Amino acid sequence: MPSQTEFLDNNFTDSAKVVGFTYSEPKKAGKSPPVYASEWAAIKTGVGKLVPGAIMKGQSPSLKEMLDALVLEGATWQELATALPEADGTAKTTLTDKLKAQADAIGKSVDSLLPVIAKQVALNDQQSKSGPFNTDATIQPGSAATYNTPLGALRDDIHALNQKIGIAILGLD
Amino acid sequence: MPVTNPVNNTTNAAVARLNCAFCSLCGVLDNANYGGLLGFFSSTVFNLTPLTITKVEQAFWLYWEHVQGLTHDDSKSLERQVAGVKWFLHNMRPTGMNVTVDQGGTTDHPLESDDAETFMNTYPNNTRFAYLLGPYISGLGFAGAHWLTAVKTGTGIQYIDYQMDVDAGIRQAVADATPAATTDLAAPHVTTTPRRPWGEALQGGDRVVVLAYLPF
Repeated sequence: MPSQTEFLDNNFTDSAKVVGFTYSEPKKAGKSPPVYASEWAAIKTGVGKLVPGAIMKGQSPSLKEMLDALVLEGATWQELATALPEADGTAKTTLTDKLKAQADAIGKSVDSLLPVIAKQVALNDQQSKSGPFNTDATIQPGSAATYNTPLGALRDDIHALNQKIGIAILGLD
Repeated sequence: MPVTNPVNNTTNAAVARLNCAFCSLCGVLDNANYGGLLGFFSSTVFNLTPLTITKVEQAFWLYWEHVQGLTHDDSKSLERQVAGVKWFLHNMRPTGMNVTVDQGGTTDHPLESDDAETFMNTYPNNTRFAYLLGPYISGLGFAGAHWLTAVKTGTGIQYIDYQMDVDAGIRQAVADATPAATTDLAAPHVTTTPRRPWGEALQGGDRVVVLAYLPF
């Protein structure tokens, strides 16, 4: 088996080193990840405040359905994260596995949501200029910010919490 | 230091076709080249020793399984490769800066290329993306995949295939083994629409997963 150096020497020429970067993984957050109750509450409130008419139709699942599903996933996260510190033995292992799976599900939901929000924002911008179509909204000219400002804030909250969960979950054994 | 030509600086035609992620990540980081990034990855990020062709091919997949403590699973290769690339970018910080990485679409629910472009256009000019595309079969998943670098510019999204910037000594051998002509392999392949491996046109069933690299 070739060493790393042998493999690189045998198969590459004029390799240019990585310059100006440092690689470091974040510190682990601890054995029990936070519940993030206030963050989830803010997301739930943000979803509730969205103007229904600005949510795109003709997509399945709709943006609203995706957001509602994320809020439900958040509720499950909170239940699991609340229960974990109290658990021992097999129950702890089971809860840890469930929490990891929940973090994975939340991450995938967010990865699916961000582009749909981007599409919605672009659509609202477009309709604000040219008149509504393809939604049940009556978007008045120049009114995109009415819809997009709360949507953008919600997107930022979702993104920030997803990052926190992604790091926190690494602290689990 | 920006990418150094040729980005695909291997002298082995098989290795040149092996892992497009490394060349694309050189583009996303705007740094080094295939051999340089592979050496950095194996020495600093995740020890691939003894380094073999299989290890190079599976580098980001194995890395993610290592990070997460997962049992090796051949059926989740692409999902874990994407997660590994995302985690690598998340931890690659330009000196004195932090980084966040946004993902658009997943291997289970990928994006159509138009929606990926809408997503990328929400970011500032000069934002760089790792862009995965491939034929997607609903219910089964990706039947193949290819990484590109994408860059948001003032006039739209630019797609760059750095794997096609091949060392002169093996251009003919790579051309013989791929749809590309030797003349297409002398520089990064820059287009305004995404392309399959070796410059082939996107097909209707192709889908996309995007990772936005955001130093701050």
